[in-house]
Amino acid sequence: MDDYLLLEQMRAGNQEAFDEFYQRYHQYIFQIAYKVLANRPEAEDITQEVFIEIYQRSDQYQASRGSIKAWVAVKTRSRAIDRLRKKPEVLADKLEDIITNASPAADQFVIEKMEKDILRAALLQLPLSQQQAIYHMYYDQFTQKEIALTTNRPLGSVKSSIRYGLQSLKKQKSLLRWIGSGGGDK
Amino acid sequence: MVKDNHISEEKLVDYLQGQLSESEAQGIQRHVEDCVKCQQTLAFWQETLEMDEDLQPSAKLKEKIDQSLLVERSLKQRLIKWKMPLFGLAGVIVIVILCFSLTDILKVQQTVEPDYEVYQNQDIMSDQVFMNNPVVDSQPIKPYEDFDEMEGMVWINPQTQEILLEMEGLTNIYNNDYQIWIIDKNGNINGDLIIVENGSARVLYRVEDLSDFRIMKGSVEPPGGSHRPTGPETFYVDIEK
Repeated sequence: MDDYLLLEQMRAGNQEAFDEFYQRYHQYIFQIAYKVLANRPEAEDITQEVFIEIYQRSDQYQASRGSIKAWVAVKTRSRAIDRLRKKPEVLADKLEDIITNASPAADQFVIEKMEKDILRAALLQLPLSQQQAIYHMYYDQFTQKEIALTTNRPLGSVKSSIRYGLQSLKKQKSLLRWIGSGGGDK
Repeated sequence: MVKDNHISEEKLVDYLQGQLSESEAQGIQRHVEDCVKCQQTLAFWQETLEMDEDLQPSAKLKEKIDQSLLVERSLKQRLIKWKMPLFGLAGVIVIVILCFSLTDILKVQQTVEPDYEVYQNQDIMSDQVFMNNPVVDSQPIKPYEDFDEMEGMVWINPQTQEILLEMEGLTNIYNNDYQIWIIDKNGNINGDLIIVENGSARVLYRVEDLSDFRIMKGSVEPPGGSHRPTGPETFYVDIEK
């Protein structure tokens, strides 16, 4: 059965169609979310969110924009990037992961989707040397070796700056919370 | 396929997965050669779609999703069960209200099922009907003081009964969500979460009758949104004008 028919049946509330859809796409969705977030529990959470959204809002699909597989991919990417924006601690993990990650284009794309003020606000809380090292790495895309050469510092000290800088970023989860979470009826 | 002179991400994904016709694929190749932004997006998807056979979500995930859907469905059914006898009761109440001229009761704000559709960001397909259309009325949104970085416009199209909002400067708010509210002439209020992408958002309302609606406003709410506005208000639009 093709994806479109499955989606139609899911719209009619058919559980078996949903099971089949899950079977086809769970690994695909999870891996896209994981690639963006570099965090397994968060990627699972996004996978759950995307499946529930597809089940409830399958009418959002517009064939003119592309295949269902592409729709699912872009929806997952979009939800995962939203999650990075909303959870600074996950963003900090992601930044840390980028140092060793082998997907530079994917990481660059994700970082560019982050509002600069989120990254800047976090960076400003760090000592200047750590700020500079991280800034060069993300904005100028320097390697650690290039940063050492540019700043005339030993490579080991640049590596430490980045490591301590990122660790500090992780500790500053609440710095970006410019509005408290109090209130509301939920 | 091409939005703001760029190829949609969906088409790029289909291109990478060999889902397009030869001529479509060639068109994309030609565009990508000259477009840095599309090259970057394509590179992102190239790396992101490299699948790792061993990387799987946990086996319990399906169970969790089924559980969530079950809860959703039972809530809906419960709502329907309540609604059915309520129709009869509602009839009686309407007669009583008419008899005793208690129309003021209707002015109390309440949450009701929406009689409109909402589309956001890339799901909006019909924004062309707002451009250069003499019947379309436009006005800037009015941000509140704490949100003066926010700016945007509202277009109201009486031909299609649609309202389009474009907002920029929606700063990231950790642990909170932006919500948009539409309020009708009887004071009924309905809210939807705003999906913010790169600090901006576009929201399209397709209503049954524009003249039923009075104002729209935005607010900051706890994650997932609220049933009625509770947080600081962000902007205001008078759609009756």
